[in-house]
Amino acid sequence: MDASPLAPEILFLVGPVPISRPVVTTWVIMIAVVGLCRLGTRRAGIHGGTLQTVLEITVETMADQLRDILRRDPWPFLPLLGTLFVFLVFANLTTVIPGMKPPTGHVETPAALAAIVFFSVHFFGIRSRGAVDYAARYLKPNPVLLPLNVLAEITRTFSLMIRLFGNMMSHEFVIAIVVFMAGLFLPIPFMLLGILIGIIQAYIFTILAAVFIGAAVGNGEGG
Amino acid sequence: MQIDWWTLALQAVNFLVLVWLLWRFLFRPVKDVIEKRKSLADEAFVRADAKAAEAEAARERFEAQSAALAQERQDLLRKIHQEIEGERSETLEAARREAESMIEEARETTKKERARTVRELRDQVAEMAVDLAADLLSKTGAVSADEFLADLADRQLSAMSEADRNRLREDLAANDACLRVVTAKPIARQQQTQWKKRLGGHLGHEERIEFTVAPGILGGLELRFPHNVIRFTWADQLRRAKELIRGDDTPS
Repeated sequence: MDASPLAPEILFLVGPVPISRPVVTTWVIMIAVVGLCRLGTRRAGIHGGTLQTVLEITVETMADQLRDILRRDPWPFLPLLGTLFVFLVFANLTTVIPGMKPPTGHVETPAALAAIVFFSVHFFGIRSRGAVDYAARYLKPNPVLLPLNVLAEITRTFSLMIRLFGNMMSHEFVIAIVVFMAGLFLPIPFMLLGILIGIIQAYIFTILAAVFIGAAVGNGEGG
Repeated sequence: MQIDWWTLALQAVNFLVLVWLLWRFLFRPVKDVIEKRKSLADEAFVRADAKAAEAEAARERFEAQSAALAQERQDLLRKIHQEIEGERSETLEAARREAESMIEEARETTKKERARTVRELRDQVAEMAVDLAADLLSKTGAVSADEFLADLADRQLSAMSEADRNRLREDLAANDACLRVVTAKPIARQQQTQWKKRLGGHLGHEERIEFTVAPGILGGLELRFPHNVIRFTWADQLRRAKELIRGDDTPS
C-alpha cells in the first residue's frame, strides 16, 4: 500500500527517533535565519550596517504591530510572536526553492506551533492576571458558558492549525498538479501566488496568536 | 489523517530553540541598540533642553542687562537734565540777583548823586543868593533895613520874659562887663544915644553899652553880652536863609 502523501517523509533515524523532511527543512531554516541574524547583529551598534538596519526595521515594525494589538509593551511577547512570524515566513517561502518543501505543508509543524500558541496563551494570561482571575474569565459572561468557552479554546487552536496547514498543503498540491500537467514554466505565476499566500498565512497566524494572547492578558494594563 | 508525533515534538522543540536563538541573536541585540539609541536621543534631548534653557537664560540675562542699561541711560539723562536745569536756574538766579544788586546799587548811586547834585546846586544857589543879597545890601546901604532890624531887636527885648531879661541884666552887672553893640558901619552919635536909651530901657546899665563896627555882619546889629550873643544882623539872616535853602532846619 502506498504511503499517504500527507505523511512526512522520514529521511533518517537518530536512534529510535525518526528524522523527517520537515524537521530537516526546519533545521536548515533555523540555521539560515540564525546565521542571518548573527551576521546582522554581530557588531550591533548605533550606526549599524545595511543588514542590521533591515533587521531593526523588521523588528520595530513587528513591535509596533504587536503594540497596536496588545495595547501594551510588546517586548515580553516579541520573542515568541516575532519568531513565529519569521519562522512561518521562511518556512512558507521554501515552496519557491526547488527541491524543498515547506514544513508547514505537513500537519505536524502547524500542530506544534498551534500547541505552543495554546500553551503560551495560558502562560501569559496566568502570569499577567493570576491563575484565579484568569480561570474566572471562562465563567464570563455566565458560568453556564464554561463548556463553550473551553471548547472555543480548543477549536480556535485547531482552526489556527488547520488554516495554515490547509493553505500550504493545498498550494503545494496545486503546484504539483500544475507542474505535472503543464510543464515547468506555467507554475511560475502560481509560485508567485504562493509567496503571497505564504506571507499572508504567516501574518494571519501570528496576528491571531497575538489576539489570543492579548485577550488572555487583558488590554491596556501594564507596560 | 496520520500524525507523526516525533515530527510534531521535534518541530515544537525546534521552534522553542529557534525562539531562544532569535532572542539571543536578533531581538535582544536589536532591543539593546534601540534602547541605546533612545538613551542617546534622550540625552541629546536633555542636552538640547539644557542648551535651550541656557540660551533662554542668556537671552533673559541679555534682555535684563539691556533693560538695566536703558534704565541707567534714562536715569543718567534725567540726572544730567536735572543738573543742567539746576545750574541754569542757579545761574539765572545769580544773574537776576546780580542784576538786581547792580540796579539797586545804581539806584543808590543815582540817588546819592542826585542828592549830592541837588545839595551842591542848593549850595551854589544859596551862595549866589547870599552873595547877591550881600552885594546888593552893601551897595544900597539899606539904612531902612538896619532900622528894621533895630526895631526888631527892640521888640524882641520887649517880648522877652522878665526872667530872661533879669539874667541878661545880671550878666551885665558883673565887673568890667559891657554890652557891645556891633554894627556893619559906624553909626552917628545921635543914633548911638537913641539906641543906648532904648537898650538901657530894657536892660539898664546904659553906661556899659559900647558900639563896635564889624563889616562882616553886613547890616543890622549884634548884641554881645559877656556870656550871650543876640544877633539881628543881615549876615545872620542870610545864613539862616541859606540854611533854609539848603534844607538844614537845625537852628543855629
